[in-house]
Amino acid sequence: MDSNQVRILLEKYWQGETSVVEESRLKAYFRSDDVAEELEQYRALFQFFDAEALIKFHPESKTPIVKSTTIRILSSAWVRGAAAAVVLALGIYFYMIPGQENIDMRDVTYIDTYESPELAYEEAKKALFYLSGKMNKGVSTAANSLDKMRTLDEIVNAN
Amino acid sequence: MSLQTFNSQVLPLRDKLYRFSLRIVGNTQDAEDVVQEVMVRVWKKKEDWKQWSNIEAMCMTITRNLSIDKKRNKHNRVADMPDHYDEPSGDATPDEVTASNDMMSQIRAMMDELPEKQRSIIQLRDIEGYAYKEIAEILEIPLNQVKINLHRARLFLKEKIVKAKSYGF
Repeated sequence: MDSNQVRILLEKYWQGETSVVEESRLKAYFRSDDVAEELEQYRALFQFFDAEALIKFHPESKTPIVKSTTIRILSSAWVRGAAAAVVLALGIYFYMIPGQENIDMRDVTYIDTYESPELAYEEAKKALFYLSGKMNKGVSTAANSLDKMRTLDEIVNAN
Repeated sequence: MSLQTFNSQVLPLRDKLYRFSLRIVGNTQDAEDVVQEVMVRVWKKKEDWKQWSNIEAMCMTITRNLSIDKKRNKHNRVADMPDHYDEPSGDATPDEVTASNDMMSQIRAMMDELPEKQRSIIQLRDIEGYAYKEIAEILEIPLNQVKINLHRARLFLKEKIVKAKSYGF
């Protein structure tokens, strides 16, 4: 194809009036070694199209869905807030409760943190409820991801 | 039967779907997630396949919609760490960077400047070679809108290239 033909075709191309076949001819021209000097500037565009068409889907990670879910959970502001609250609560527990500073570690098994067993029981129950609530949330998120993985497995194994 | 259809008509689209998603979301991990999600969704809708006039166009449409959602959600989130920030980059060392690569990366940057619709049309036409009618079906817009947007996108790229050239590109 001589450069005059290419120029005409290229003009049609910019106007969005070329057919798929004409566009293939343009791509072939810009792949060749004898591109006219004044058209050289457009070579990179058609090379770019060629190169992009070769990109393949091959996920490097084996479990991208689970991985991305984990990232999403850890990055949510809510969880960061909850983590900060737990750290604060622990800090208060260890440093603010009176009478804790001089614990003799040899006597530790004989010291109660609460005055009455009922109160201790209530507090322990509250803490365990809180923990189990978090666990249930985690389990349901994991189950969701597993469901997606199972469907993918089904597809992949069927091959 | 549905598995055969899936294997012969949907699975081979993976690369196209991935490239399309990548053009919209702009990073490999999100594009991979989108493709897997599309596969799962299409598989779960296997009872509806008979009603789909063009299964490939439908897969591309789902890919576009999920990619746009993904991109939007990402924008709404507080600053993320860049993807693969803790891995060595596969980039070439400075002495390996050729002039050609530089031009290619400039073209990529120009593409990124296009509005999503125009970028998607360039992707579907100039990279994937779809007919105007198919592009209209995938993007769910009238045929003349495809042509107008394609024309605008190509002119934009042309002007950018000419401008870059005059600045010593």
